[in-house]
Amino acid sequence: MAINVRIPTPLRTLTGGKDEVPAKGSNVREVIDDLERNYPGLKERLCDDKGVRRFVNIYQNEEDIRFLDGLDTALKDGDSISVVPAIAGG
Amino acid sequence: MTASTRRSAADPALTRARVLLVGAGGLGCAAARVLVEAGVGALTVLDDDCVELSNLQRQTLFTDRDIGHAKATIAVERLAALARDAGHTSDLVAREIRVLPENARNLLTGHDLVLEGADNFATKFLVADACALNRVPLVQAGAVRWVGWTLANIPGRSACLRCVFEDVPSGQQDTCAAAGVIGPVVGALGALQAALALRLLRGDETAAGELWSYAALPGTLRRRPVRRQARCPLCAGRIAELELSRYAPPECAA
Repeated sequence: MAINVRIPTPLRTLTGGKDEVPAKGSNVREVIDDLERNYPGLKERLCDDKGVRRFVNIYQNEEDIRFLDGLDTALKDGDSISVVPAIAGG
Repeated sequence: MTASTRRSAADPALTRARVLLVGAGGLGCAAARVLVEAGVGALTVLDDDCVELSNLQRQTLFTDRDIGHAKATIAVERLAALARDAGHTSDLVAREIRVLPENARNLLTGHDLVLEGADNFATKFLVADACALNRVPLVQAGAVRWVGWTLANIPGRSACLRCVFEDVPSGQQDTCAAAGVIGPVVGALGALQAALALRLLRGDETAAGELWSYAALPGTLRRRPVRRQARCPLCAGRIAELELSRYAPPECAA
């Protein structure tokens, strides 16, 4: 599956400044593994041993994957994945 | 528009409202202006910082001559002038103190809604917890560099900060002191916070439960539904007291 991944500003140092990158995978886990191959270090910023890091939200299109099947959420061609981290400044 | 027509525009639901503003930074300055101009009856401005030169590009209630003076006091002076010009009678109070676990619930007392624009995660989670315990609706936001978010919560009814972001992040995070934040981002998000606050005060509960994300680069505003999480300790009632150990030290002093 060809997936479009939206990269938040804090992680763009790992994607050469790109705000959107293509990735492949049939579920979110595979997409993150594919991202890690192309942009080493990205997976660690998104996941820990328990799964998606706290203070990071991942959306399939506009739906939080925690309310779908988490990292096993199935994807279809053309889906978007968005990463939304917590931000504190004000 | 004349002063008299501006005066008549104030909604009774707003003139009765008592709002607590936590943080008179970029978000707080933008939101407070809108709330006071809209005719909110009472606003308490809570901030223990002083105005610094680096604040002025985004904290629009302050000018060069305010540097070194308490933000809460200066903000209330400026807001009082805005209210006067708009023909509103607003009860404006400055509190030059930091919200802490030991004072948070008392500070909330007497307020119908809290608008939080603090500059650190510890305060954000502390205010979320205190509002849940006191059952006070809350509108929160955060911003760094060119991006930010805002979320309105009605305790017990919609997703809270812990449903969405769980807990104070570990490790190094971007803060506005280290990374900076541009004026238009806090201006836009502060205004969005005010819009959500006005909707809640008017009884529109649909304002809660949506996470708004704004990115000035490349230029997107997204609104995503967020739901209460069964495992959220705050919504499940497992946070009954505001213990100091639960909140990391503040990360951003400017």
